[in-house]
Amino acid sequence: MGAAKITGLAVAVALVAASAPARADDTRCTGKTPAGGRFAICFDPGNRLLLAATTEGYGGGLLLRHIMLFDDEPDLIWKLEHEFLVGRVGGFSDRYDAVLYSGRYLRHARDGHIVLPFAVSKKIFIPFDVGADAQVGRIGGVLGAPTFELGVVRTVALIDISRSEDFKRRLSIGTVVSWDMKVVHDPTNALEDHRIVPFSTGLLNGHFETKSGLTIGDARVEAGKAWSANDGWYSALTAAVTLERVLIAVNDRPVSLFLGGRYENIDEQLYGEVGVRFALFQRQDRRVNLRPIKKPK
Amino acid sequence: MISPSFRAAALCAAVIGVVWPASAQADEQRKAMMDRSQPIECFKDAEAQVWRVQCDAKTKICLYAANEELDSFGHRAKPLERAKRCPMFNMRPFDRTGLEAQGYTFVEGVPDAPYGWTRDNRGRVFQINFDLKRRMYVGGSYAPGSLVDGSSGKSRFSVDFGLLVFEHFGGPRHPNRHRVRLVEGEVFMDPFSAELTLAHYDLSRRFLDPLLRITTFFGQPQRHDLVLNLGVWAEAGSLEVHHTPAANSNLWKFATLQATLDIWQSRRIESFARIRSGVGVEKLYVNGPENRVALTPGHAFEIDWVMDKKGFHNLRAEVLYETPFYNDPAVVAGKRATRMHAKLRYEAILVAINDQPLSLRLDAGSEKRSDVPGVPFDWAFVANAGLRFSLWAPPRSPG
Repeated sequence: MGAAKITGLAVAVALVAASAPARADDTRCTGKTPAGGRFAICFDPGNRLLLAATTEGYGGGLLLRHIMLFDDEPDLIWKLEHEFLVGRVGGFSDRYDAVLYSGRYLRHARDGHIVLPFAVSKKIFIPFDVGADAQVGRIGGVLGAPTFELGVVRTVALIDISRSEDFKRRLSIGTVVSWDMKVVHDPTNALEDHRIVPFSTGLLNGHFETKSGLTIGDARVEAGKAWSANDGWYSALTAAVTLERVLIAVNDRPVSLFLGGRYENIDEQLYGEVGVRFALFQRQDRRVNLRPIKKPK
Repeated sequence: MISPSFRAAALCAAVIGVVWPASAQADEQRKAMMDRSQPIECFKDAEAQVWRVQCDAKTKICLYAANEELDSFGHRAKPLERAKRCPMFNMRPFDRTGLEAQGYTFVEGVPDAPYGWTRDNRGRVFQINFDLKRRMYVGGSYAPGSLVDGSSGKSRFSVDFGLLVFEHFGGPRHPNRHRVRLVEGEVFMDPFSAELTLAHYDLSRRFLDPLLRITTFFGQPQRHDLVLNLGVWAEAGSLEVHHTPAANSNLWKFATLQATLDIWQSRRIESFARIRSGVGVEKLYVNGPENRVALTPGHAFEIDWVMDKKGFHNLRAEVLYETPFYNDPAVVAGKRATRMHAKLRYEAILVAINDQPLSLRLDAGSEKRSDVPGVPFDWAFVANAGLRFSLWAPPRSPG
């Protein structure tokens, strides 16, 4: 067994051990010290200002998510997730990447349906939620290289078959539209190539979070055909998996172990990533109560 | 071993089995819907089930419906969505016999729904009116044409996207319509070209006080108002990419500012016809030494028309004339170049998936320009036929 495999196994064992529930009752999100102090044991990983240090680089970003409710239609919600200025550079890698904005908008309704706008509108029922991913302004490349990648826009029209009412789980299938440029670092700022995905790749994305928000997993596979202005059609395959587990919290702000892997067939490289993430600011989970316990008079 | 044909047949049967029972329900004759603007009362029957009742004194018809959505077996399943609240008369018994004695007829109907929505016979609500001026969209289309570089693009496809299209109308007291569009564009393949606008804002205004009023005294004195509905139009960060055999050109329009004059406006200024004129700053990057900055006066005539009250049919036309003046005379274009284009676009909603519309888009356009190296100064034509999926698209405002 190689050293890399032993290291991977050790990390996996550590994550499994760390992901074991700290308390038997996960619904209780506020811990108490013997002296009566309170501390958070549940976290909201979708609302945080993040700092990260991993083998793939140092970076961070702002993550926000919220739900839109409607008084007159209680069975309809919009689940909105936003990420601003997420990026990283350095580490053991000579690569850098950053995204200006990415978002996910899922419309969850108890009754999924298609409306056919005939003279009398008709309604056919379907068992999934609909939504979209959107990404604007991605840059990525290798430090010192003469070119870099500029992702102008990327959208994914999604259906979510998990139909979850919250952000804790997702199993979505989608079709991708994207436009990426290869830009040359020279005074002419020439755009060397353009890569287009015109609904020609499919995306399968699974996501889960534990109720406590201590463990997060995400896996995605995108496969199909893409088109290059220089080279024409080519096969495109990207697969990525991430796992994050909160290990400790400093002043009720979680520090988590992060593990990731990514494969892209365009450069036929498999990337692994291990590191830590720290929430510089994090919205307190609604179930957590950190108000001091009143002492009896 | 299961044969592929058997699998296909089984899949079809499964799909029909899933979809048919629900759609068959929709084929029944639609029951009359209660009028949301008229009073609705709720009563409990002897079995403590709540009913909605709306009686019309003119037609002598009382519509009644269960106060809950029904399941496929006709059983009460869940509370109604988007229904008007109705007062409950627990104490007062419902006098059906008395009403029938007065000549009222009782007809089973469906509960009311808000503007832009309707209900099926089971009381389930769904959207039937869409505002395509408030949405996020992505689409794909077949886009053949004779192209600006003189080549033909019979197998050309395109994708188009708009990450945010948003319009806001200030109401009759403040009749301004603000239009915002972020990251909107279209990318064509084989051969490649692309258009992108990062940010767009324009404001249409209806001036309540006329600029000039003329009174005539021939016969009965009459007043004639001369109204100038002026507005503003601005774009920042537009990019056009053109690949030709001679060179690859990237035209960055850093900022464009124009004044608009609406010559026709609909009541809520969703639809309009206008002319606009102004100036922009741009830079053309070409593979080679011919990068150059230009100050570009531009003039356009536009029509944007929502053709029906439900927002299903939308027409847009634009004729544009621009003349970039370069700071450095170029070999290809000289000191001044010309750009002209005309576009006509029709978009119609076909179906809605979970109240999110899928629309058909048909475009026809023509272009003639002398600013891009490798492009002959001749008219090029392109047509588009495709589909768009929109998110959000709430019902249009009534009126």
